[in-house]
Amino acid sequence: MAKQNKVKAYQEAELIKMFGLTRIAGNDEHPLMQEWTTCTATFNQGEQYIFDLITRDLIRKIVGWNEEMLKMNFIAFVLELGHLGETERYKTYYENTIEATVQNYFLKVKADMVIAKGILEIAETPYFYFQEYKKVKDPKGDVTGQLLEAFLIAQEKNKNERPIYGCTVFGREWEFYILMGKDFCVSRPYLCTTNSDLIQIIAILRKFKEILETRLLD
Amino acid sequence: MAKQNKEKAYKEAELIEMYSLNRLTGNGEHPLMEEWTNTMTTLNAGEQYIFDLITENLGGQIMGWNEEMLKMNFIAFVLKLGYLSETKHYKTYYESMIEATVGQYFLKVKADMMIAKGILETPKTPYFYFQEYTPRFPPIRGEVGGKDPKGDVVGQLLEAFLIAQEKNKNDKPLYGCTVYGREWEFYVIEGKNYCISKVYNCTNDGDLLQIIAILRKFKEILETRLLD
Repeated sequence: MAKQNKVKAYQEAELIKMFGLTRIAGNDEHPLMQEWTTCTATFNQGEQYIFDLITRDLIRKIVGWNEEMLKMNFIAFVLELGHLGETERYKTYYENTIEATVQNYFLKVKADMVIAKGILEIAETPYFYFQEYKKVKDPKGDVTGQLLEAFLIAQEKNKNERPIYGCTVFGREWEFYILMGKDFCVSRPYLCTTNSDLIQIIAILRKFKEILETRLLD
Repeated sequence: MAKQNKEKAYKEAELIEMYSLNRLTGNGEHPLMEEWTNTMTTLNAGEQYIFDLITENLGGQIMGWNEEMLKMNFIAFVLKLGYLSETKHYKTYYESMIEATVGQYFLKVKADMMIAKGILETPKTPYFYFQEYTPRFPPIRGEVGGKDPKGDVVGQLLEAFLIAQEKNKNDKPLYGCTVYGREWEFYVIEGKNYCISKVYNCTNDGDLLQIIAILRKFKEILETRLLD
């Protein structure tokens, strides 16, 4: 019987131990991460306008923002520039609570954002998770632990061998993640207040869309 | 002593009775509402790009969105087009819990968004409130025995207004907006009179442009008359 503990939020280290995961750090340390992060992006005029709009004075403003301000003033626009809008084949869900029993442990987490195939408001097959650190609501929360829980739940639900992709945002730092089997790989951190890093963040999101549409969807 | 009841979310009708408010409806029914909504705007090329991006297939998508999707896919962009970003003098706060004892009653409400003067993440003097509700998710409007969510969202906005009147301690009007799915409505309260605009349907491009114009006009009113 699964150890049901709905309130337990596992830390990254606990999950590594519980599920025998291997942590790999660096863009070139896993072929999937290398493929994903080796990319570039260019903007059309409209996209450049949005980019300039959201980066204007960002370094000063971002310090005073809580997670909701960060989402509404910045993340919403970055996701749009990353072309992660919904299509007929997948959709972007927000604040989606997911749960599953994975190898005898009951896992439950609220995913800040998930790209999944689904029906109306019900996400069914998840491909990408996005977690944001919540200083105000959850000051002790481990954003990587939350993302890993979401990954493990997705592996259990999707019941296929395909990798799961994701991203964490911790203030101005963005990191990208892939879980493939028992290996999970973390990219280098990208600083969104540096324009070149932000362009790279957008390129990586766009590249995910390409990977999703060519390899992850049924 | 104030009747402290933190759980109580008052409905619009209750608040009218409790505070003897006078409800006016229509853009021409109060001079402040008339001034605010009698406006127009144009978009530059970059703004037009954003406008086209968010309105593409909006009518088909919006009904499948919950509140968070509506915010991230649409409202964030409309507020940006409405120039409601922070300046040195005021800031936009999200999900701020506000409370005050107003008259005999203790009021407490979570404001989805507010424009206020403040310090870092703490709002001090509010000028504009924004409340959102999506009709798809329960409770269903008009359901027998169910709540009327639209009534609730107006109640929340009115509570926020009354709390702000109490805190700001001046006679300046307060402005606000409710979003109920695709319907946007604008509100002004001055003293005991509050006025509700006509309904704007954001899936109609002409109405959406007008919503943006009204938000921009608020910024002008804020900077010329409301700030100390």
